[in-house]
Amino acid sequence: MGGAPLLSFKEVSKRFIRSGLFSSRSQEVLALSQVSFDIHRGEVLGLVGESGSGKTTLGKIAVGLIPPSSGQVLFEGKELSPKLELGRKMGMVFQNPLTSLNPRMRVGEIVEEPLKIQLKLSSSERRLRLKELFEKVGLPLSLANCYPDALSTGQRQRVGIARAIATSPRFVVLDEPVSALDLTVQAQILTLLSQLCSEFGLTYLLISHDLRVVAGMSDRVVVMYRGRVVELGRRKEIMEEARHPYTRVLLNSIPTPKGRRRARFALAKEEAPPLTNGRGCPFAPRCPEVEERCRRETPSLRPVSSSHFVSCHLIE
Amino acid sequence: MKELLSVSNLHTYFMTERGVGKVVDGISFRLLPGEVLGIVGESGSGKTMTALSLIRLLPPRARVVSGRVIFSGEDLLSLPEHRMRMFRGAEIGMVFQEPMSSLDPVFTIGEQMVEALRFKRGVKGKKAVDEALSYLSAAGIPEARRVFFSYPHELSRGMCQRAMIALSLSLRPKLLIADEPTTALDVTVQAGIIELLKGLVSSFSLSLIFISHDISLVGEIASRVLVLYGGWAMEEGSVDDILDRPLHPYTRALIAAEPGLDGELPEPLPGCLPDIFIKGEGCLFHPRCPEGEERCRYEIPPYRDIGGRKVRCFKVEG
Repeated sequence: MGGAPLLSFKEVSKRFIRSGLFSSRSQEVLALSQVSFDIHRGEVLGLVGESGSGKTTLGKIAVGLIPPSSGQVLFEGKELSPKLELGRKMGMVFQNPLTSLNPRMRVGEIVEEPLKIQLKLSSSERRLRLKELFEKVGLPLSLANCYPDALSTGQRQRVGIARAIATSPRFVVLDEPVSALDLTVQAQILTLLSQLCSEFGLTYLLISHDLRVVAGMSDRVVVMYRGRVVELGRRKEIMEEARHPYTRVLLNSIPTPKGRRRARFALAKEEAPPLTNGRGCPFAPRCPEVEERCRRETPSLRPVSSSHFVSCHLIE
Repeated sequence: MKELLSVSNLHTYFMTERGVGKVVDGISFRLLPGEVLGIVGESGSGKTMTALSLIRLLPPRARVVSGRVIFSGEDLLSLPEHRMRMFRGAEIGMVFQEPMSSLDPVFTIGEQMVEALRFKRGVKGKKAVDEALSYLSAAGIPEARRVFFSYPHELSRGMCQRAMIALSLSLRPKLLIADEPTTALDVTVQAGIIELLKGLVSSFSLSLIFISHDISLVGEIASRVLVLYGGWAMEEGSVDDILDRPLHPYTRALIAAEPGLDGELPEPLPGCLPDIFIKGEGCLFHPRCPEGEERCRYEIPPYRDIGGRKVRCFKVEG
């Protein structure tokens, strides 16, 4: 993939201060630690990790909804100007289609809003564009006057998608776009997203906890664990030649019919221990192949091929 | 072998202002002791309502209008409510999708377990505490004592689900119903819970009804699979038959919708479930069926027995 990347993360870190409601102690949580990678024009980049891995935080930083604590995000070579890009050049589709749509607005108004605010279209222009958008996402125009709660979850997610692409953005962050849906509806939505991607030449950052969702669409895949990138590579490299123990655990967790689970490669500990900013590999406490060195030194992301990077001491 | 549970011609309807919604529309199945039955279908297919009908925990406006549920010789639908209360938990355990909301937030896990043990099994005092701790360990919880003294909000969702399973198990039910027990969980935690349930079925000689919309997940644990659609049973058979040789077009569509790792998008099934309030003529699946023919639109296909398995489709010979 040639040319300058569409979006680059340069050593992006994010800290949150967590203070208890009834306690005076406050605790710093490192949600993202030194994340660096590029998203190329026209590619679908899958981002995988379990809850707490920082994937949603990274998605929000990518569209400028929240600023990074340190590091840079470059969009088309320039530093991201918060909130300006979102809505015009960028879009976002959220996980829960019911809570991300205003229950007091009709779905037509929801999709029209960015057209009014960002593109300042007249009402007749908006009507035309709305008709076009509804057609693209496969919604009957008759639903435009309904409130979100009258729609099925699949239809609501189609509304979310129509809103995200309303202003013809180049880049769309899809944050768990199908995890609230039945598998049959999941397949419908993934097919729709893939059609839109090729029709409009969109670039996607597709976030999911399920490798299967990411596998069908992504050109490249990034695996995150505890705020760090642990493996990055082309789809085939991750799905078939995964090197990091965590990626292999994720691959092994995928249900395979009739208990034909690949040779069991399980976590040493199911629950992640609390985050510390200490030394060592963050995955060490749960790693099935942990060595002495893993607890002392933090591994860095190193190439195993021109496109495949792994952060693990066991890979030489 | 004598069956543990037999459900015959169960009809559960929603009575609302919009009319009568037939959520469960004539479902029959049987379960042998020690067997794992998987129930699969999209949301709205009647999976949960079938399960709730068995233990009579239906939402206010839903009612079982006809059918029989026989559980180890007792007719559950005609049992008086005070006896049914003893059946729930002690004979039939239930684990739901959202572990946080099925546990009481103001009591510790231990308090909830000890109370259940006293009420359902008459075990008291130190004995109850010891039993609770041993069941927490049996549910694969390494720090049973810490979890015993924790409130649900102090635990992760996966840990809560394990505690919920421990609580259900401690009442020594013959049958456990697990309704989408892993849907809200991360894939790694999901795999752990499935392994746990598989182990418990064999070590406690438990029967299990496992409900999910994910047919490969069901295939991992079940020995027999029942496919529901719009309140109808569409197909039933051994896990090998259903996954390797599905007969019904709907079962095939469910399998095709399963995403894989090969870089191909899953095949979507167009359309959505029928409206349970307006069930038209003919086969419920015909508007979405890729193989439908003229008579599917007017005639209801019978649920037939074909060489040890069952299917509801005109296109299947036999």
